[in-house]
Amino acid sequence: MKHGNKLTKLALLSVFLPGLAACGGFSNDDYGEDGRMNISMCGIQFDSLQTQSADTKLIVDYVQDKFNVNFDFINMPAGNWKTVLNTYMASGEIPDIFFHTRYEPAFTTWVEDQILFDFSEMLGDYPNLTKAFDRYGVNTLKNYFNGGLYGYPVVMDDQSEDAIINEHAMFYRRDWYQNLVNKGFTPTSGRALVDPEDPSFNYLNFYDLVEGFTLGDPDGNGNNDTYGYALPKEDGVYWWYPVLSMFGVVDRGWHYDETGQKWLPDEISDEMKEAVYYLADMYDNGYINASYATTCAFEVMKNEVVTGKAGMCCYNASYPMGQGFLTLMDSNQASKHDETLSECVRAMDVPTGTDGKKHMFGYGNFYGYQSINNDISDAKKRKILDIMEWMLSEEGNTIMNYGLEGIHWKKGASGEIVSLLGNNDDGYPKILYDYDVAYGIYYLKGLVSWCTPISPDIRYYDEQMQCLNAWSGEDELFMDPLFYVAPPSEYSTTQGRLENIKSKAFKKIVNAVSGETAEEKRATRDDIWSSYVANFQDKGSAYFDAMNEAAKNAGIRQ
Amino acid sequence: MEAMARTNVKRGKTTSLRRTRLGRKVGRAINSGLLFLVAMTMLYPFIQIFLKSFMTDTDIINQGGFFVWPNTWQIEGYKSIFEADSVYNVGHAFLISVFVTAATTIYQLTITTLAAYGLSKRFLPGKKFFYAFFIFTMYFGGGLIPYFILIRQLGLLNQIWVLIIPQFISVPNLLVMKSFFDNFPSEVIEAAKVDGCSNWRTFISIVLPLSKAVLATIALFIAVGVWNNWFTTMLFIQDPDLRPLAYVVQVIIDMSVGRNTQDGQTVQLIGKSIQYAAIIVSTVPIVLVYPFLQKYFEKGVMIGSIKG
Amino acid sequence: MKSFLGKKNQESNNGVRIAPRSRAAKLGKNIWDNRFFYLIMIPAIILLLIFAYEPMYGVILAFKRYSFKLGITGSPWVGFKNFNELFEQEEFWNAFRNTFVINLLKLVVSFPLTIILAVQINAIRSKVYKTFVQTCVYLPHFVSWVVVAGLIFSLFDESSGPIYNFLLSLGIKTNVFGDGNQFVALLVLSDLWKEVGWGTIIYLAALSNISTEYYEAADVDGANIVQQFFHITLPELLPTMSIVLLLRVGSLIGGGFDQIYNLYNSQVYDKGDVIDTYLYRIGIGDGNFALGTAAGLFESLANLVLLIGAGVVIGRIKKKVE
Repeated sequence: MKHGNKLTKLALLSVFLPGLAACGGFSNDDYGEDGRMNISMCGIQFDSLQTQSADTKLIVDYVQDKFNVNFDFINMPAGNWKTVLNTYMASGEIPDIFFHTRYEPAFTTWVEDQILFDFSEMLGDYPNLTKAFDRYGVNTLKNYFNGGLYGYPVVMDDQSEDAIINEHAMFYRRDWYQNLVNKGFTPTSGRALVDPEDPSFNYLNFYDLVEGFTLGDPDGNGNNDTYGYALPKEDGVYWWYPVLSMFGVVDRGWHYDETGQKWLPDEISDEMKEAVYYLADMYDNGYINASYATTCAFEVMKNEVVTGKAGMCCYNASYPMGQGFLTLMDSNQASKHDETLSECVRAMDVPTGTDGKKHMFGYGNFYGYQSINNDISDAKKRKILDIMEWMLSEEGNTIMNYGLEGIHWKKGASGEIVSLLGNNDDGYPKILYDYDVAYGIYYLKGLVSWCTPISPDIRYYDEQMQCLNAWSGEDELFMDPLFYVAPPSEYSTTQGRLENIKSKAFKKIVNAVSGETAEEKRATRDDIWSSYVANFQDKGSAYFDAMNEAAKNAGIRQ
Repeated sequence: MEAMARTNVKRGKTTSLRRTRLGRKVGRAINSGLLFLVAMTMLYPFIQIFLKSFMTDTDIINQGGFFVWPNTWQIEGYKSIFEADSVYNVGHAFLISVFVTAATTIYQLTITTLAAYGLSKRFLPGKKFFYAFFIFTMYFGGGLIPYFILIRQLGLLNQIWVLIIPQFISVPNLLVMKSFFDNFPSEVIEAAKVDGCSNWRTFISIVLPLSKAVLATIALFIAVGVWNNWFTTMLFIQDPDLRPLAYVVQVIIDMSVGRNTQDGQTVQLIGKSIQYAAIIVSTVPIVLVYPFLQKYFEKGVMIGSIKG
Repeated sequence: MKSFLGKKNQESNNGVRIAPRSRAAKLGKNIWDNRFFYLIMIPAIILLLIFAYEPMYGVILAFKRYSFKLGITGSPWVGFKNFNELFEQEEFWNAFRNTFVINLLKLVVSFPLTIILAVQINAIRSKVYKTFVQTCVYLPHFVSWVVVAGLIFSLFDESSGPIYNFLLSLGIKTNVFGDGNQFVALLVLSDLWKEVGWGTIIYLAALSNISTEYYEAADVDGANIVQQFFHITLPELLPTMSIVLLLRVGSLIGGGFDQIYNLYNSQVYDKGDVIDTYLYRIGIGDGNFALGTAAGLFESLANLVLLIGAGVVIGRIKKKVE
């Protein structure tokens, strides 16, 4: 047969390919032709760094000159970042430093293959980095990372002393609420509307408000064209957390079951069931968007509120995202209004939950991790750590947040930072992260922190602070007790599978439309719920045991 | 036969035939009407996107009907994607696309034509082997990772050539072309031989000029494939100045209707008018170019595919 | 000259006994005389060796546990473990079934409609109108699925989508992106919209071979349009139809990636996830390359079996017809 021929050709080819490789310009050397160290970085939306504005380039160049390095930015597009990262990783083209989230199924393989640098090897020489790690507890993190400090948690806040901060906020239309109050809108429950910023605002009042935003013609245009609450489709059911929190449960969270004397996942608890039914009820009544599970991307969700269709959504409260939201809100024709912004869009309080307490769980302060390639030279590792350490220092922090002294800012009379960038369209002093200045630097700074300072100079300072503070009261936030407990590596695919089972079942329950009456629908939902619980336990029981064991080893007991 | 048919028609002034002719006319009218509907079904999505790309987002949301018309015409969507310092920089991406498409089309067309002509040679020793050699790659591949490693080893990573050099052939196109050459009248070639033309001369000055239809068709296939390809760019091109339009459009559409945008990391709000403007910008060149080549399609495709 | 060479070759193939030495010499001469045809194939062959054949060693990953440290060649062998893992996953079989069902539905819907459309277009008398119709129906073929997905999202948008609103006014509340069955319908119909026009070309070519005299004669005989279709048109189209059918059946398992990847979401995995999207998700998205490669290899083999099977069946039918 001709098969033999092909094999011969293949064999021949393998002989001459190494020659081809030599022709390529690819080089593994640390140093480029200009004698500078090359550092490849892989991060989400590095596009913004690459399409540099003059100011972005100034700051990138400043950092490169200071450390005598050249950055090689590898972009991960927001929609396909895993594809790019995984392809680079698997092809042996591991970036020197790269961003990822702990939930990557490949993470455990990376750890097993020892391709991730353990920060603790060199941490002693870097006080700022040590401090950053210490916020979470080195042992906790090691536990979380299956044994070593394999990633630097990129914090979301400004490294204040608070242990936990939730940087999302539930933006709601304050003007719509006022309209409803002025109209004397009465919810079907018969309860009176409660101010969403009043401490007594609870999960029932939340429901009433969502109903009012849907049925009460809150924009006063005479049409029934609004709805209460826009939910995005991304990340399974993660974005349901403001609602789940009201029922004291957490997506992927754990609670201690006293009767069974062991940890059980929140996903199959009765509280979770009630939370899902609560959303299902909203769905039945059209209070949430029908596209919540299908086409409503995160950005589309924002659009819904900005254009005056939806009355609320959960969105990043931190600058510049929050401000971007408010600016768009203000500039959008559909939602043009005479009121000031603080009368128009605000962040609501944490609603009191079913147990009479206020809970809010979004994330444990950090969004993802920076990991360093373990195969690079020690010199390069140290160089990267030097840069991160500097970014956490006061000097680095100032430059990454405000730019260069004398170019982007100067010291004011009392030593405060005064912008030299002129005013923006609204007549307020510009800062580095205005879109036309050096927005991309945000992503370079993301090496150590996603937080940007909020200047009292910005137009929306007060609103911004209100949004940020809305969900950041310490006693109102809670953590999944096993958040830092890593499952044994062999369960990484199990986790993913359970995640799928759960999201699918929850959305199915919410969407269940068979049945005319509420009772019939409830029966349909009960059926789905019970078969889901059975399936979830069946597929996950070994994993639950392993998590209990891991919790025990980590010394976490009820 | 023809004459007979004609006389039949001429002679056929009987009522039954007239009824048939009338019936035919009505049938034709119905047929034309139906086809008009089909044609409109094909055009409608483009027309409505085109109009909406000139509308404000508010206007778009308020006009949910079947027929839309801008209350006020605006070009903000186009403006924001053509801004030079925006992440999209569509104008630049457009030029890159034009270059990559033109270069790849010439390059791939050359290699495909040569291979197809060689493969179509009758009684060529080992022909079956070569045929199988080409076909095999249609059904079997090594996957993304070894391919990526190869591209890296060849030094093509982050080079504009990565969009061109590996796009040297598409086996289905090769087969279409091969069948065309298979059917090429051998007398023409014989005649050239008798006149003392070398193989090369025959190919260049006799065969190719007579193959315009298939060449034009295949060239269009190649061009459209290249024009629409964004995946290669995503994986292999990091330099934003080297990104073609298809990639940029993909990012824009992905952000606004995206599957998987990560935790709201996107910052700018991509309005519908921006998204629609991007769709129009990427579609218009195809709409403009292909009708001119359309007359070749039937000739080009039929000859190839029937024997395929 | 050429025919002379060819004849010689043919003779030797036909089994005229020639001594081995002279046979080899003749083959050598034959090859040398045809050197031009080998030479012009060389660029394609070399490039194919580099870009298609060289990476094929990657399939060994299907039998390995991929190690980031050791790379493809260095990773340890695990035998059929990946396949076992794959076959244990409900999601895989779900995707396998969906691929088959979706492709079959597409075939059942688009195959007859393409022929009808071709016959309809062929019946147009006015050349200008014919060109207009053809231009319109071919157009969607040239637009990428990314863009078509953008169009579809706009058509079914819950506030501004004209089709969504139109169906809503008829009392049908669509949920094409969230309901599995509706999603499959969307896949079938959008595929029809995009490719039906293009599919007619091959039939139009065959139809142009039918002399109008047949129809005129049939007119005289009083045959109506339906009779003409079945007695003149269809027989003429049969060879083309069988080839199209063969190709379509040969790709029943696989394909559809661009379309589905750009349209789907986790809500419709049940009905809409196909092998290609599945192996992309687990292989690249989750970084489980070994499992992804195994799924890909399985798909290739399944397709090959189908293709060969379909080829055999069609060959037999052809023989019977002849």
